[in-house]
Amino acid sequence: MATELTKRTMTLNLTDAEMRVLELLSSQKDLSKTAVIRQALRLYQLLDNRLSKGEKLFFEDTAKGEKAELMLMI
Amino acid sequence: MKTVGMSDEVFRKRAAEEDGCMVSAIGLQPLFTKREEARHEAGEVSREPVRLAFCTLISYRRRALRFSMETLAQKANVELDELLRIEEDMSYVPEARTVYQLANQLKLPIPQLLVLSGNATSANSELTEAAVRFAARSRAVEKLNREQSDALNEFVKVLVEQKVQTKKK
Amino acid sequence: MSARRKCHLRAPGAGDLAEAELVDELSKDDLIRAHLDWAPVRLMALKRLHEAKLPWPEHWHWDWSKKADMLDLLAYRCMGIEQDGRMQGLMMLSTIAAKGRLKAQEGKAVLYIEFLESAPWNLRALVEAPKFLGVGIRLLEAAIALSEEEGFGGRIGLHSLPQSEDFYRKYMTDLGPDSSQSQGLRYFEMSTEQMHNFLEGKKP
Repeated sequence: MATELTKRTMTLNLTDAEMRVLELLSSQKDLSKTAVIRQALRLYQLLDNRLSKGEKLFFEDTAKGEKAELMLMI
Repeated sequence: MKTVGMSDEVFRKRAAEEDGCMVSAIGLQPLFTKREEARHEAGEVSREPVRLAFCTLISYRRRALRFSMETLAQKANVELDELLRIEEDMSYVPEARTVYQLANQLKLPIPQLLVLSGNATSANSELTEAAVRFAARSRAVEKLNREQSDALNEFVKVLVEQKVQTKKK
Repeated sequence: MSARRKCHLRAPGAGDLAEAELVDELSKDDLIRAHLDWAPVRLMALKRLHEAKLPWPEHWHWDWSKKADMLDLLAYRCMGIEQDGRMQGLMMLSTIAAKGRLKAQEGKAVLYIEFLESAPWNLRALVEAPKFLGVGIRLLEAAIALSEEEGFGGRIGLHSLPQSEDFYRKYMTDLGPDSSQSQGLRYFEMSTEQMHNFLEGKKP
């Protein structure tokens, strides 16, 4: 008999703009809105983990050969 | 978790297909690890054989010179439990001073020993290759057998012959 | 708390199928214990291979205890197949969706397998008589299930060490050497259709 992982429910208050973005991402990525939120949370924690170790985050435009640091305050 | 599965009959077939295969996969997405760590996992840079060579070299050389652990620890002015750790724990990096003292008592070249112990780096690939060969040929047993004795003598010869320019870590 | 689901492994030496458990969320301690259990067996196997002048497996130096810290992050999850108190196989997954590269699913979410390994006593290359077969199959099956659960449609992807390419080629699409990294490892991806074929015993 399998035991189930516990999941908890919360209510999320979003602005109209935020909800539109969530719906758009959900449609573009073919993921449920819950899945999009979970992806965002995982990515946020990962970035926070590496940034707190002193690493830096960059965007690179390979076409132009340009790199720009993402200055995040998380 | 969602139950998505194959029947026992399909599993038997698939399991037979797996027999003889080396099942492994390696991630290269640098989300967690830095590139150097990812390269290490892929086998591009593996320091473990070099560390294994260092541990084994100290152990074998001690036994070849007929020193007990206590005797060597005393002569080299090193704590006995540290000597045990040096011989048994691949991940342990002793201080350069300790390596220097052991090298003197075991009559081994200091710069090369500093590299093997992880205290210095060197671009000498021959030394690394010799260390890997030695690590592969040897494992610790109570007495050195003929093969281990030959492996030790050959490796010591390479160490003495190799010129090494070291960089402090 | 992790969920456990009963499954079977092939036990060539002991009849047909042996009961095992898929543990779908391992802890750091689990990985450390598995490493301590596997390392001595792997070492002895390496010694035998060396004496027989045979090559070592490409993943001989892997240390699962060093991967344990990845489990501090939600982005990673580790699963294992346990039998009689011993881990028979381990699989580390990234729960942050990778982008599908197969044309049919380009840009869609794919569950990426970071590391996968069968215990040394289950590999014919390391031991004369493997204890269990089908560990890799069970882990791929588990990855597919998690991919479904995450909403990724059962799609999975991984990079293979050269020694394992033939195995993955049986069930997944070989997209060739990945130019985005220096080791030139080949990237494999399983589409939803291939997933169904894999689970139903059909040729992919």
